Amino acid sequence: MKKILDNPYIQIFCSFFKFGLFTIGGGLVMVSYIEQVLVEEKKWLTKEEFLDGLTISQGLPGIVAINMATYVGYRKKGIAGAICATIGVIMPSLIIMIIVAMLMKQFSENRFVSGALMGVKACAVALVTHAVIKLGKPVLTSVYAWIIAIASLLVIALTGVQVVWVVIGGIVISIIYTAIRTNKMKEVD
Amino acid sequence: MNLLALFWEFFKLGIFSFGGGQAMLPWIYEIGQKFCGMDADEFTNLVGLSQMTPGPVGVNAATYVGYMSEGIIGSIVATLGVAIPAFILVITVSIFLKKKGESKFIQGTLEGIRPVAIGLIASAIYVMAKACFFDIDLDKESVGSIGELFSHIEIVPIIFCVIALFIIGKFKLSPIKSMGIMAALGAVVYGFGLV
Repeated sequence: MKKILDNPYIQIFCSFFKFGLFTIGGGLVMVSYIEQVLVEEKKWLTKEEFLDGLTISQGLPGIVAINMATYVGYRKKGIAGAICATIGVIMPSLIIMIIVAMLMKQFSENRFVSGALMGVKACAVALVTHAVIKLGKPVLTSVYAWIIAIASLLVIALTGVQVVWVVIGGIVISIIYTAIRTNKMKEVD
Repeated sequence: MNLLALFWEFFKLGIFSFGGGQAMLPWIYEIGQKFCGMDADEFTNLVGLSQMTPGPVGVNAATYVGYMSEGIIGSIVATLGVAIPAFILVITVSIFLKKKGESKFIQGTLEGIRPVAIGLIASAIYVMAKACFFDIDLDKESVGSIGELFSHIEIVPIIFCVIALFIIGKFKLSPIKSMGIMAALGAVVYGFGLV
């Protein structure tokens, strides 16, 4: 048993399984805990490497927790390590959400369950509203940001345009805007 | 092959979603509509459940939609679909990281995309509020006037939402605690027929 637990791949899997299990409400909440475990306890990364990984994970698309898992797993034990870490971090979600979805299908008629769901739904609106305000404050600092945010919202909410096109459109606009701004700054110099 | 199509949809999502799990929500809603006939009400359920269960919101939502579309296999396919692009991208980037360093241009571009993510999250609120606060499905039925719109407002969910905002904002309770309280409140109020 001890031999199995000492296996580095199993260790990676278990650590990230725990991270996945304790991440409730958003990957970023767990950052200090993950840093504590990876940098101080297990010493798998230096603080700089951890911060690099965090920056990459947030800068790239996709889910931060998965990006982090891939990054750390890869650094530790190559592709096999990355696979162990990623599977580890998504396992809790898979198991729990499948059970929850199964229960949903079964008990949706029950008055108490649907009542509880009403509370959950109202709370979801509140949580996401809270999130958009918190995330929005540092981002919506320029006219450009406000215009892009409102435009994205209106296009998604009021037209049938698919989200993928809004994102691609946003990338294109951002590239053009950044190019213009970078040129302007060069002119000033 | 529905499974392949499902995988591909989540794969695309994995490539293009900037801004975290919550910015993925409107896209996941689209996939849900396409693959399991999800309506706004069920979407709001999904958002709530994804927030209160362990695991990143994006993974939870993918698993749920995958399950509702194609059962257990579907949930595995969906989750892998979202995870694999990250896998490829992160490994590629970390190989090249030391060489590229920081590019002002890339930084600027990434910064420019963040407002889009904010807009996406806001659109999810719009969909959920529509489903939660009105007693008719506004996507299917139209309303003649503002007055008529107001007549369809459901006060109880709105009160619940205000209570939740209070709990989260003022008392700073964690998502899982606030969800737990609101779920219990809802179960009691609706279960015992108090409204």
